[in-house]
Amino acid sequence: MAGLAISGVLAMFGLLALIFLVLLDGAWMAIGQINWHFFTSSVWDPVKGHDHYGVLAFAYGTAVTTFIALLLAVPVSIGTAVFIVRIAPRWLSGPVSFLVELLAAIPSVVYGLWGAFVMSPWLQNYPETWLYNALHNIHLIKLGYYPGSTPKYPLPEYFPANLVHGGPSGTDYLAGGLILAIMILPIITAITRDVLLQFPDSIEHGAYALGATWWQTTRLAINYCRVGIFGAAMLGMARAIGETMAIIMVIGNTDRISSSLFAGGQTLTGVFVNEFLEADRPIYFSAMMYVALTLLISSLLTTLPARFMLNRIGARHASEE
Amino acid sequence: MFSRIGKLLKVAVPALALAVVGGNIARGVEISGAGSTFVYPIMLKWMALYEKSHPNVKIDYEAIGSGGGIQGLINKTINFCGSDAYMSKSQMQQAGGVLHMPEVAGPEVMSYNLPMVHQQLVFDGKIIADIYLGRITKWNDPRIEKLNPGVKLPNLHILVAHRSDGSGTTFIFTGYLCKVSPSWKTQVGQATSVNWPVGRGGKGNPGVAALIDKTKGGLGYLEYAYAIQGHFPVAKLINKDGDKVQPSIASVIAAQKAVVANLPADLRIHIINPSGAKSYPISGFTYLILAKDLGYMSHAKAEATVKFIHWILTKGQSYAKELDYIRLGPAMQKKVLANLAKVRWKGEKLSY
Repeated sequence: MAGLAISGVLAMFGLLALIFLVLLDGAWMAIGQINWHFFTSSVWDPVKGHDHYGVLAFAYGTAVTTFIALLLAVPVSIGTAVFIVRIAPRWLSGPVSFLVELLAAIPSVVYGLWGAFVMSPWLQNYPETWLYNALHNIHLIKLGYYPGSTPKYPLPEYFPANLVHGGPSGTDYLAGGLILAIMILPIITAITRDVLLQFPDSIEHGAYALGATWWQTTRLAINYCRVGIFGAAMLGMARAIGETMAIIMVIGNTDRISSSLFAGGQTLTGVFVNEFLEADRPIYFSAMMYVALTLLISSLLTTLPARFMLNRIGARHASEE
Repeated sequence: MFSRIGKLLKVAVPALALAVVGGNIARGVEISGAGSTFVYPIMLKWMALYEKSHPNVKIDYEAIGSGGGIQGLINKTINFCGSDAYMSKSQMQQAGGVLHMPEVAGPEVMSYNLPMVHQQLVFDGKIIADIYLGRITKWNDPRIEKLNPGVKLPNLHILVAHRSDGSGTTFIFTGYLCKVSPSWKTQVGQATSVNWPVGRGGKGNPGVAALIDKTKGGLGYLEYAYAIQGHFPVAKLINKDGDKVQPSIASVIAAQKAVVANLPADLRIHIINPSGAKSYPISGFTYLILAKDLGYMSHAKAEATVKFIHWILTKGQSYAKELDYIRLGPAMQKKVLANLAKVRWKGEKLSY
């Protein structure tokens, strides 16, 4: 039995190493030719003869949408988990848990279609319109771009301006972040719920005995479980970084960096799924492999610390995800 | 325990093998193709009709994208390839000699979302290029107004939409822009994916259509069939001879006629900005591509493949219209059939 387990582990590591080596082999040509400029340039121009490959704009898109997703999803997830564990009566907490987990079962392409045809027009017509009216006169840095000037190729036209520059569009970083937030809610909620269940009764009783209110005790519980909750957020983040089909339907797919939440963007996974099939020249193909390698490494870098933290506090269900 | 499994295997393996072989005998010849997604709807129709009238032939076509189809042809894993872009010289070398057979044409249309405008708009190539370069940003730009006298154009930002996925449609569209605008040619160029100066990308025709549809002031390029079936408004384009042309079967066949006269011998051509009063300026062929010598497959497969392709190029053409593809014009069809006649199997001629 132990032998089986060990060979299973070895096979997993072997598989990971194999994937890594295949990607490295595929990306080797691009690594040699493009080098670290790959990460410092935001121009992605796969036209034959131009062959300029820089992923800065895509990495920026991944970072911004992931950040927005966490900003929206983490508080809601903690709230939902507190509700399930500490507020809801037994007959309600089961169904609520189930409904949240059901969100995880929806295929991401379904989220994408819903995002493109329902969420994106709604976002454009209501929340983004309100935000635009509220914020369009507030400039972050008064440099470079001024409203009314014509964008000039190849200047990065909308940077830096304000948070809502360009007006409501519905296909932008905000839409990408929002759809990711919905998609990572279940995983963060489920793990937070499980770590909150680990909060020892003895401490809870002690808190009440010292005269703490229910709210103070809940804050104590959240604080006690903070490492686990942080781990849950990190796993949510790893999922957000890796998400593809849903986000390309709503993010606008442009390779420009912008400080505006209403500007179109692109993510690392997005460029891969959009262009991989037609990447038919060696350097183009190799650059795509370089993107894949970047993704693999960045998801390892986010998943491993999360796992480590969750293991340390021994959250029971951590291994399910 | 193990001996029982062993016994079971002894019985099951020959039975399975028999089933596989038997299946093959019953099905006759099986041929496989892969590539273009653009051609997939009509290919499904062709396959179904052909299999019905030729019950001994089974055809499989995987719509994995033109690039994938070409790769399959180079690696000799498929019998025929469907592609919206013709193969490059180096690809043809890798594949060891190929023949291109245009099968149907597909125009591209400029579609827009201006609910307040009821007349059909007219564009020319330079204006489209400048919109896509970000030099024209408003619908009431004097240059657009000049081409559309009597139309009250709104003071609205143009939301430029393009394909985000690498696609033959983009290849043809950017090819058109290169031909009509020197700035486009030097700054952006022609490819299946380019570095777009402005606009938003949508995945596939539905993605672009969603972008146009959602926002007042949207403008984008769509495949003709998709735009017609979705009842999207389409613009007339000014062609090389200065005429306003509606995208239609007649105008695309006229465009084919215009290019037939100086067609390259290998038929690798897009119908971009041809001369002729009635010619529609942006369309491309989608191709069936075969290896020049089909010696890498069995004789039966080679013959079945060539027969199927001959059927597509002749009888199959009449089904183009109902699916909103554009059939080959008679002059073009003659050239394509002449190309098909060059296919060999280990040096032998194939009958069809």
